[in-house]
Amino acid sequence: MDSHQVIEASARFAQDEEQQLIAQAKAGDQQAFYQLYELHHKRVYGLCWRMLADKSSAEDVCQEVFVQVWQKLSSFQGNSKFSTWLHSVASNIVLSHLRKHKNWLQRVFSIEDQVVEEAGEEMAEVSELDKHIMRLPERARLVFVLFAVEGYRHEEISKMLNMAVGSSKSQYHRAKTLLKEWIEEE
Amino acid sequence: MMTMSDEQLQHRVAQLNKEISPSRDLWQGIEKAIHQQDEQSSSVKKAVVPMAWAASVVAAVLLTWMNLGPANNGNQELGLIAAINQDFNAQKQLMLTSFGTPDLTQLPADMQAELAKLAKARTSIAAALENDENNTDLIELLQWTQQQELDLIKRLYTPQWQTI
Repeated sequence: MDSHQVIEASARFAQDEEQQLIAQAKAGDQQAFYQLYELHHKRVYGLCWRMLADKSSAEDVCQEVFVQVWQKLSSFQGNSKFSTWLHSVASNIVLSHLRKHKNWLQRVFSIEDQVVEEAGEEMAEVSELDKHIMRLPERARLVFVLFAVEGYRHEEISKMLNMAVGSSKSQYHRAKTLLKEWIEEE
Repeated sequence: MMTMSDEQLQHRVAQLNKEISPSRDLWQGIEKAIHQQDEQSSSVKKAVVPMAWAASVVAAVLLTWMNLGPANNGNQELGLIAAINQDFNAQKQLMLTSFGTPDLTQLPADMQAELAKLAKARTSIAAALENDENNTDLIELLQWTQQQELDLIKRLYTPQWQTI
């Protein structure tokens, strides 16, 4: 058995194990659900944190994601990978959280279009690129994270963010321009 | 100054660590929340059985009443019934708004069925009152049914786990 076959076999084993955990969790086994949480929570938290640019909100939303996943687990039919389904649930909960918590100042003055100067400073261990992503204006950041980091297509992002496909592309372009500019200034 | 290319930026993005550890243990809160939800769900299910029974009794009483009850004596009390219904609708709307205007169609099918039964019972009582507007028993029954509906909504959406 060569190294490629070993990797393939271990991936298949991990997938089978995950399927088993999902089936147990669907049947109400909280211990199995905890193991699923252990496997995925850092990835989900990373997604929440990058989209929200706020540690505390990301922690709260990450909890909400897993609570809702526990409730919705029966609707997971296994047509896609569990991680794909989980990240889709997480992205939608983050966006719903942003919509609910947008304050009146943001609504009136559209301050989500402004660059955030202080974001990302609270976590010393994060990469320089992450610190720059945190500084992006909200819409540009959301599009950039969903497209470049999470691998969504602009058509999908436009539906999620309720914007035109062209707007998603232009926000992505804006994010790239700002990030390059800031990286060059490093 | 050298300008960064798209490829260089993509390369840096690809190097990002997708996994980030939260600074606190999130599982404790999640476990507490799902435990509370499971308890809440089972207590709602327990409450639903007598409620379903009550709704059936209401329907049976109404059927008898509409067949054997007194003839229509006019519409003098329609104003009162309309006011009771209006008050109930306002209370229900206020309650739903306080819970973030949840989508009731997203509730589990059995909960939706219970809410539908209560709503149907409420409508039937209101219809019966049109034929017997002075019947205080029917008015009390209407108010009791409305209260059951509000209690069920409250029980379903009270955000006990949001304090995690």
